[in-house]
Amino acid sequence: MARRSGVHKVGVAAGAFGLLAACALPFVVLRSSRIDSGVDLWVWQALPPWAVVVLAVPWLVVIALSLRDRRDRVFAAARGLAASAAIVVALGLAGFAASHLLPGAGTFARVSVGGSVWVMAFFGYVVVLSARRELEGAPVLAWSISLAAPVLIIVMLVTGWLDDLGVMVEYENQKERFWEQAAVTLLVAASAIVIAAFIGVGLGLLAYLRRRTDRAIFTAVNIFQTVPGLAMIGLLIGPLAALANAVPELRALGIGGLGWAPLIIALTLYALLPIVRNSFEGLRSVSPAAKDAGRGMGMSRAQLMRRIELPIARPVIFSGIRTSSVQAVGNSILGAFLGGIGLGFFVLQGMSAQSTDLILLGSISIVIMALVVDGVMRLVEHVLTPKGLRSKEANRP
Amino acid sequence: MISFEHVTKRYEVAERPAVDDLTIDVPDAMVTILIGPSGSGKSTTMRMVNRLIEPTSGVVRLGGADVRDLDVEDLRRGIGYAIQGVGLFPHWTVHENVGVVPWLLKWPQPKIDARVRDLLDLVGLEPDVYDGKYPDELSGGEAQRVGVARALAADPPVLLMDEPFGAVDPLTRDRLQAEFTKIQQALRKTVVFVTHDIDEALKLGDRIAIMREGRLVQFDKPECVIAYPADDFVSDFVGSERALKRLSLARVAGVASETATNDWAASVPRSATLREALARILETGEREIGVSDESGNIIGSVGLEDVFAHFERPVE
Repeated sequence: MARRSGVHKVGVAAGAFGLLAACALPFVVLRSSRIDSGVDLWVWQALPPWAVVVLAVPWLVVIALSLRDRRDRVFAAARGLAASAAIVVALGLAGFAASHLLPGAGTFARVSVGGSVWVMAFFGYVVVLSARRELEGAPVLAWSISLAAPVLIIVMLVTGWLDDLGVMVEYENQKERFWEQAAVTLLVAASAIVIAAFIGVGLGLLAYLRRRTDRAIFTAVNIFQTVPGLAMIGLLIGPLAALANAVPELRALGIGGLGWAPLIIALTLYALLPIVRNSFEGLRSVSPAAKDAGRGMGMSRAQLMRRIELPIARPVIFSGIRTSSVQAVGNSILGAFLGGIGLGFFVLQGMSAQSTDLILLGSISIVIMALVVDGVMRLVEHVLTPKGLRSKEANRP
Repeated sequence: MISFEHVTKRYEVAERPAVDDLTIDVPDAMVTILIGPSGSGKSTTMRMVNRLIEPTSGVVRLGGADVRDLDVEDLRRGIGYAIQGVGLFPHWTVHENVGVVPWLLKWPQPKIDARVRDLLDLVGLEPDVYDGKYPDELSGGEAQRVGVARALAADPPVLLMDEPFGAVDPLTRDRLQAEFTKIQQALRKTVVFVTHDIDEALKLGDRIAIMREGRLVQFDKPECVIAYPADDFVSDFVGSERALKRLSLARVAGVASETATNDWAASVPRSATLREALARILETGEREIGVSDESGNIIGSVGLEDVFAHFERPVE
């Protein structure tokens, strides 16, 4: 064990950087119109003095709780909660600032969230993550800490507290479109993952059962992974367009060089590597003694696979599917270039309109969706892990 | 029950056969030890009984039948199998692990449940405590006990054991060996037991088959292996303390003589080995010491002369 230092380094450092970010970076940006480059406003310019104090308090609490490194669940939980509060307060006060700055700034004025809020959110998240790790043995507490900030942010969104921020103004303008695109993103990513799971687990099984095939399989899947996103789409457009021209029935189904077909194919190809790799490694991690014992006691090959090898490998396989799912949601931004499919649409739209808020609307919602998918899949993974293997669960990335 | 007739196992890549023209009759209801250095073919030989390895030529018989004529899964389900590293299924409870062969044989669940409890009892694990545990909650010794219970689950007449007490500390191993001897005295299984540890072989074996480079060098009772090693390889393998090992195979009860006096400076129980008696003699400096029965009454004596006499007597 390393010598225990006096202070909780992560807490103190993240707390200090959080405070520093609050002072050193603009808190909000005021634009006279959507595309105006805008004026940076610092905390003390954007907020009344009492609000500046409110902003600083949770960070000071984080630091105070970190001055002694107590390996104590209560302290870890308190630190996580204070950091969650820091994130929520920063965002909430940005919304508050927007509501006070907008009147008297013109009809088309926008207030965007500035760098200091983002950096504070980042360091707050760092503290939450480290608290989570310290709360490993207490899953309920760990989950409450991770969910505290998201839940409070949702409350602020629903009650309209953040409605005057630029991102939310953009959302309000295209509300219906937004949910439509979000649903499409989820649907496209989910389809790709389902297809990739079948193919990927199948290929992983093949590589495991027929050892000579593993090199060819991994070479192929690795190649997909190295093709850059835009190149992948470019490569798919030609063949798919030709295919749709040759077979009109496919065109009627909506398959073509643009649209959902190339996107799902691209996402599927990217999703393969983690799934194939984890299926293969998961099966290989089954101890030779257990396999020998199963065989020696008279299990058939199918029984050994179904009862022993697959159940032991299942958590590792599913963790590959989870990695792929998060990637697929992120990669779905490519849909922007295939006729504006999914949330990437807003990113592209924002870039052409030079509207930071619109870009943010697209990219933040993709990030949030990826985080939510990761959380949900982790939960499923936990449920799918056989009880006797749960003690090893914490070691899995 | 088990016999090997001119069995050879040849791997394409290897220069010499892993098992070379092996002929051996494994006696029923006894523990037959296969021993030899690594690469001697002892594990390969054992694994040809339940067809985890198929011979290149020759016949392995079980109860008179060529094992290749039997359905491989039925054959394996009818043979107990315990291995080094135990190979418990980590996602199954102790109960499920022990009950695996009965489950494969489609026993009704209540019968399996009752059987598993009996077996845990037999190997010295309290059923109420261990039934629901998972393998990673067991110590090394407990896991090996579960491994033995699992091998015995469907009450097979034949047991194959490949260094089943390999991966535990010497103290635990001694205890497991003693318990195994006790269980075997009650159950009288035909056991093929692979080890590379000569002390384990002498302690547990009724017969010892010493193998070297795939060939059978000597197949004999433990006493004879020690007294009359077939060649230099065997005597090297048995080690430099051959005489002492021979003493540890003989019980005081077999050599003690009745005496008029009950007045001895020290005594040993009659169940002790001659080696223990000799140690006691050397410790006390007496040339002769008493022998006591189970309740501690002196029933005779044993002395240095008896030790020498034991060596002069031929071993059958």
